Amino acid sequence: MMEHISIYRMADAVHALLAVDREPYALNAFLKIANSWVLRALSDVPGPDLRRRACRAFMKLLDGTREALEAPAAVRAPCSPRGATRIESIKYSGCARFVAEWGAEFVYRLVYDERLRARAIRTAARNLAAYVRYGMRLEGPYSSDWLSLADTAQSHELRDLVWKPFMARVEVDILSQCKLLSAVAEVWR
Amino acid sequence: MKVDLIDVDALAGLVGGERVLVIDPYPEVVPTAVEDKLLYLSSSIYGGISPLPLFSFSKGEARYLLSPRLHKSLADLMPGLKALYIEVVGEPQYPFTAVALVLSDLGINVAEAFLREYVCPELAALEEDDVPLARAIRSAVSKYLAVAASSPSPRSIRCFCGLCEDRGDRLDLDVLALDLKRRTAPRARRRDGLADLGEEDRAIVLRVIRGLSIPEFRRELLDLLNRYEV
Repeated sequence: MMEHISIYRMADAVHALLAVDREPYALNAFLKIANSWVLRALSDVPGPDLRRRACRAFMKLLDGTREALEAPAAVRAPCSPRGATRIESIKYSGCARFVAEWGAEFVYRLVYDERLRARAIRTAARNLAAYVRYGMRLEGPYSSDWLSLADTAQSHELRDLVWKPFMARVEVDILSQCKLLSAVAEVWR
Repeated sequence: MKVDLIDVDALAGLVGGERVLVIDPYPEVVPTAVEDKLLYLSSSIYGGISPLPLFSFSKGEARYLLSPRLHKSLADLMPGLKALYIEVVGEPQYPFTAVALVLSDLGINVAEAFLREYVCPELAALEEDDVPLARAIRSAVSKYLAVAASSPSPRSIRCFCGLCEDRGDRLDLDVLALDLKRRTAPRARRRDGLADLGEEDRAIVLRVIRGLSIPEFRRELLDLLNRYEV
C-alpha cells in the first residue's frame, strides 16, 4: 500500500509534525497533507509517540522509494520559473513537486510562505544548471527559462550528484531530527 | 573590538578586498529549525537585525572574514536586513575557537569541516578551557542581542578533535545541536510590552505575530474568523 504515497508528501507530513511546536502553520499544514494513506502509514507503526512513529513510517517508505530521490539522467521541467511563482496549493505532482525536488524545499513551506517559494525557485534554477553541467539533460519547452535564471554561481561545491537536491533537505531536517528522537536505530545509507 | 551595523545588501564590498580569506563555519544545508529561528529573531519587531554577527580579524598576513553566505540567504528572505559587523582589533587569540563558541551560543551547528580545519589546531595549543575572545565577543554582541553562554565548552570540542582524555568518546555533534528554548533572546523584548506575559504565553503571541506575516496563514485565519463570525 506504501506505493500510493509520494515520498514528498510523506516528507512534508513528517517535517510538519516535527515543526508543530515552532511554526504557526505547521499543524494546519499537517491536516492538509495527511491524507488517508499517510494516516494509514502512521498507524501501521506501533508506539505512543507520534513523532517517532512518523519517523519510522518515513524510513519505511524511504527504503522502498529511494530511487525517486536519485538524480535522473534526464528531467522534464513541467512549468516555467514564472509559472512556479503561482504555486498555491499543496500538491505532490507537477510544478510544486519539481520546485521541491530541485529547490530542496518542502512543498508545504513553499506553498505557505512566498518568500521561501521565491528562494526555492532560484535555488532550483542554480541546482538544475549545476546538474546539467555534469551531464544531466533538462527537457521541455521551459528548460531554457530555468537555465537562464541561474545567473549566480553555486556558493558551495556540489558534493553529491547521485541524489536530487531534495535529499539534502531530507537528511538535514528529517533524518537528523529522527536520529535525535532515536527513532531510527540503524544509520540509513 | 569595533562594532558596526551594516546593510547585508552591502556585504559584497567587504569580500572584495585584497588578501581576504573567507571562512565558512556554517552547515552546507541550513536546517529549517535554525532558519525559522533566525528569521523570527531578525523580523521587524526586533528591528531587522540579523542575530548572527559577522566577524573579521587579522592573523598573520591575512585578514579573515566569516562567510556572509548565511546572511545573504537571510537577506534574500528579509530585504533590508542589517548585520552586526565585529572587527577584532589587534592580535586575536584563538579566534576560530571563539567564533565556534559564539556561533553555537547563537544556535548554529558549526560545520564539522570548519571544526576540523580551524578549531582543532587551535585547541591543540590551547592550555586552559578558557577563551577570553569569546567572552569579549559575547559582551560586544549583547549590546544588541542578549547572548547566553550556552555553547559546549572547549573541552567537548576537544573530544571531537580527539584531544580529550577518553579518546574513543567523540563529541556527539548533537551536543552542539540547536536548543530552541534556551538561546538568544533579543533585548527588545524587555520593551515590547510582552514582558508581563509568562514564557509560554509570550511564545504563543510571538508565533502568532510571525504567522500573521505569512499571507496564506493570514488568509486562512481571516476565513476562519469570518466563518464563525468572530
